[in-house]
This record gives sequence, C-alpha cells and structure tokens, in this order.
Amino acid sequence: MNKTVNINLGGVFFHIDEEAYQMLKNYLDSIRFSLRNDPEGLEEILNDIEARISELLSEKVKDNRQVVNTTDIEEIISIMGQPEDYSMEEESNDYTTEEDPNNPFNSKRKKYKKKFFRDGEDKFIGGVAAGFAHYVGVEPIWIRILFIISLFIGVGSPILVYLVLWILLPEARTTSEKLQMQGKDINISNIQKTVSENVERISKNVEEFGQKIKKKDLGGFESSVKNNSQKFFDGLGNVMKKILLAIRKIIGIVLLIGSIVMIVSLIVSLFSVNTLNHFGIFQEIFDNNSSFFFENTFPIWMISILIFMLVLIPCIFWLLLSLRIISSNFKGFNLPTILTLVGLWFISLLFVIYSGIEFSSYSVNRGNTNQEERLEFVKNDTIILKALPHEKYGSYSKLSRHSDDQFILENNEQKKYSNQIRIRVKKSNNENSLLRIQKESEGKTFKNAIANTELIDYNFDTNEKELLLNGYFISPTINKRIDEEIDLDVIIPVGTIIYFDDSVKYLLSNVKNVQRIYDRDMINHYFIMTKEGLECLDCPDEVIRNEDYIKTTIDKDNVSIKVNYY
Amino acid sequence: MKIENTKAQMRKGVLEYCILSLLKDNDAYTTEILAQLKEAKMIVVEGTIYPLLTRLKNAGLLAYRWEESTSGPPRKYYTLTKNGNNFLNELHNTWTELTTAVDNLTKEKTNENE
Repeated sequence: MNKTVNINLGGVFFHIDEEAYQMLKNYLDSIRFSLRNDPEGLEEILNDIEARISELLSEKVKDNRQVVNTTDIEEIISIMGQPEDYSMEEESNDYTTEEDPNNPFNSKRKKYKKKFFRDGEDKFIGGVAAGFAHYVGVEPIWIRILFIISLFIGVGSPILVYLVLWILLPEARTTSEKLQMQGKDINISNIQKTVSENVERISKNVEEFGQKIKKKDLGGFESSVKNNSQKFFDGLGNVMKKILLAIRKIIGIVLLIGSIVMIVSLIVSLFSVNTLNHFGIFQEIFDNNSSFFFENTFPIWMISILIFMLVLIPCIFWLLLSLRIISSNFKGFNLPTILTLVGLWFISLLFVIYSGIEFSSYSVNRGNTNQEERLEFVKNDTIILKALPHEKYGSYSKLSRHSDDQFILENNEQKKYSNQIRIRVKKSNNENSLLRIQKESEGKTFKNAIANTELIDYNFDTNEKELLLNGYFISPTINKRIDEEIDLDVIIPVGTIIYFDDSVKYLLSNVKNVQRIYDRDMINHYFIMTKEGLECLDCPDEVIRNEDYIKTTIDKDNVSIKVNYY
Repeated sequence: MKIENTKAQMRKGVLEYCILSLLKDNDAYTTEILAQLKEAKMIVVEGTIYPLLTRLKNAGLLAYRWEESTSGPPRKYYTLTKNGNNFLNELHNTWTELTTAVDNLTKEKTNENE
C-alpha cells in the first residue's frame, strides 16, 4: 500500500505515488542544480522540461485514476537523460575522460562545494552540530561532545554561538541541499541513494512508532534521550506554531525596528565621535577628556572603530535574527560571512581588551617635585592666610579641594583647572618663613610623572601682611585619569601668629594644632606657632578636642589655659 | 579518449544547425523537434535540447508563440526569426564547405590506405 500525492505538472493533473513523487522532485531539483550556471533561462527551461515530462506522463497514463509510479519516472528519466546531460557547459561534459584525473575540468566537475546547512533529520535541538559534523566530515557525536565540553570551558557562551548559528543557517530541506551538506555529487545515483535512505528511515520510524505504542500499552516507558528531545522540540513547534506565529511577527518587527535604530545611531555616533566629539550615545566613553584615549598605543579613531565594530556586529546578528523571525524564508548569511563577522568581532574584542589593560596599567607611577619659596615676613608678626580664586574660571564659593576639575581653553589649548590644593601650616626649624610647594602628578613612568608635575602652573603672592595663595592650579595634562594635586606647606617660625581667612576653609588639610581643632573651626581665628605646634589664641572651648590639653593646662595653672604657652 | 564522448561532441556541435534547419520551412513545437532529432539519431536523451532552445531564443535566433492544443495544455511553437534565418544561411555555407573538405580529406586517406 502506498500513499499518493496529487501534483500539477505543466498544467496537467496527476496522481503520483509518494516514492515516485520524491524521485521526480529530486530529479527536477538536480536539473535545477546542474543548470545553476544559467540563472537567466533557468525557470523557462524548467517549465519546458516540466511540460515535456507532463506530456510523456500523459501518454502513459490513459485513465485519470491511474497512478504514476516509480517505473514510469524511471522511464521518463531514461528518455530525458541524467541531470548532467542538461548542462550546457561543454567542459563539464565532454572533453574530460576518466583516464585523465588530473584534468582541472574533471575535478571541477566532480567536486561540488560542501555547504554548511543544519541537518533537520539528525538533530537534538536544531541540527547545528550534525550540520557542522557533515561540513567537517566527522560523526555528529564528536561535535556534540566537543560542544558539551566547550559549554564548561566557555561558561555557557557556546549556547549563544549555537543560537546564532541556529538562526542564521538554513536547514537542508531538498535532496540536493542534503547532498550539498554532505559534500556529495548531485547526480541521480546519489539522489536515489538518499531517497532510498529516506524511505528506509520512514519505514523504520513507522516500525518504532508501532513498537512504542505496544510498550505504552504495557505501561512501560522507554525511549532514547534523543527521541525525547527531538519530539519535545518538534512537538512544541507544532502545537504552538499557529499561536506563536502572530506574536512572533510582532516581536520580529519590534526587534527589527530596534536593531535598525541601534545600527543607525551607532553609525551616527561613529561619525560624531570623529567629527563633533560631543554627540552620540558614546559621549561618555568618547568624551575628549576621557583618559581612555591618552597615551594609548592606538589612535582615537581606531579605538572608536573597534568599539563600534564590537557593538555593531552583535547588532547585525540581531537584525538578521529579527528578519529571520519575521520571515522563515530569509536564509541569513552563508558560513564564510558569519565566520568573518565573528572573527572581526573577536579581533575588535582583543584590541579593546588590550587597550583596556594598557589603560588600567597606566598611571601607576606617582611623582612629585618640591619647590621652596622664602617668605619675607617680620618675625612675631601676624600673617593673614588667604586663598584666591581664578579671575575668570573660579569664585570664592568654589574654593574647595572637593570641587571637580574643569576643562578650560587657554590660548586655544585645552587645559585643566583644578582646586586640588592642600594647605598645611608647619613649624620652621629656623627663623625663616617658607612656602613649600609640592606638586604631584602621575604618569606611565616615574619620569613621566615628574615631567607632568613640571607642567603644572601655580602661583602665589605676598604683601606686607598677607600670604595670598592661589586656590587653584592650571595644568596642560587633561587626562582625567591622571590625578594631580598641590600640597602647600606654610612653614613659619615659632612666635609667628597666623590668621586663617574664610577663603582657605576648604583648602586646609589636617592642619596640626595643639588643641586638635578641626580645620573648619580654625577659620577666622588667630593661631600662634609654639614649640609644640600651632595653638589657637581665640577659639571657643567647644571646638577644642584635645581633652588632655585642657586638663593639663588647668592642672598646671588654674587661672588661664593659654598663658602657659604664650 | 572515449569514443562515446567524441561522438556525442560531434553531434552536439551541429545540433544548433540541425534545429535551425528543422524550423526553416515550418514552425514546430518542442515535441516535434525532439521527435525529428531522435529519429535522425541526432540526440539520445531529450534533456540536452531544452537549454539549447532557450539559449537560441535568448540570442534572438528563435521566437515562440503559444498555441492551444486539442489534447492537454498549450504548446510552445518555435519559429525562426530573421536573424535566425541569416544565421542559418551562414551555418549552411560553412557546413557545405566543411563537409566537402572533410569528404576530400577522408576520401584521400581511405584511398591511400587501400
């Protein structure tokens, strides 16, 4: 008993038995394949051929109820000729002989290029492993084992690769595609072999099915993992197919729009990075002052392109995914293109990782330079300590070590304006007043760091009573990553009185004093330098944190707490 | 060299000439062309003809029209175009020259051999 199929061949209706139908279909597929070099006339030629086959079949089938069988098809093939006979390429047909295996035309004819398809017939999940196995010419089991091993090594990332391949690779559906997948010649004998394998498998499946039913009846459950997974994925597909189709299209369209927006904005941002610098979604990364691009081996445009590729390539796959979701006819890319893209992605990744490592290993060396300036104050006089903001870029309210660095243009050159200044007051070992300016910077090497400190521009001023320290410095080092600061030590001899103006409030940094008064409480008070250190002359008791100071002084002299040191 | 290949090649070389000649006086549809060619043992399998006819048509040597048939679907009738006619005449001249030349050569050879 055989199933029959109804076909319309060249405008005529035929009953044809299933096996014969497969044979005819494969025959036409193979003809299509052998005529592939003539795409212009292909459809027309095939139509003519179908019309002729239909005519030949009509001669055989007198009665409408008669069924075309394999013998009929075989006869037709013998009349029409093997698929190779259709090819117009003379070199592929005639001059080559079997005695001359070195003939290049010969090998050209014999070796069809293997193609990477998914194998839908030998699959666990999507048939990718089996397809790949055919492509490299090994048993699928080895690829599967490798895949599972790589899952452990790659922490699951091969799943992504698998999904991408599943999405992008077409499944081998027609016999000629199946033969191409296995790298076999597409000729009648191979096609017939494949067909008979198919028939065999179908009958085997039927048999298995029967056995399964029997087993189920007995209450037993025994089935291979493979069948289960295959059944699960196939069954899921079938049941949900119709419900999912609509949702799938919607998701596909949303994804498609998303990916297009992504790609467009990526391209826009790439151009803006290299031209305008201040637009686009990578503004943060590509901000001109971002340290990432300083002292990197690769120029900014190159890293921009690499990062661009790193993001774009997944977007392309995303686009393909959405196209594939929308239309199952969409075949995706062929393997070389996919491999090129994946390769490019990995190369970009390597470069970016390299730059990242280079970047993070940067600025490890810190260097400083000291500079001492003699201050001409009269001994035992009172010095007023003030800080000045920049005329243009700063203000008194911003005179704080904690304010962010700004980038300014000075003589058309970008520079950093920073308030990273620490002021301390120390005791002089002699009678002289000094200002010690310690500039600190960072660099790849210690030498670089020192060189960077020398570029820092810092000034101060004095007049008779006041020490006017700039509350800022300007540096040409605009690398955000490089941390620069200036430590100012005001060194005064014992007996000198110093007054902290309001402007230095946020620049003082742990100024040591006998009473352990906080920096912020020192403002607007007079301090005197004693042998033990600074001592406040007019601070209220509540700011004095050194309890010993109060105790000892009170123990020693019940009258005054300050007289002792004066 | 296989004799079969050489034979097939010789036939194939003159196949275009034969097809054009068949259509010189009257139009014909594919099956008729095939039947005549087969009868003359110009072709063994039919497959070869289809790409050739399409190629001749695309080259502007042949044209075709659809004609209703009493049995079955419409048939494709091929006809020789003006270009095709010129082409055929040239081929004919060449063929005559060729056969004369080949005849002379092969005659001499056979005579010598005897």
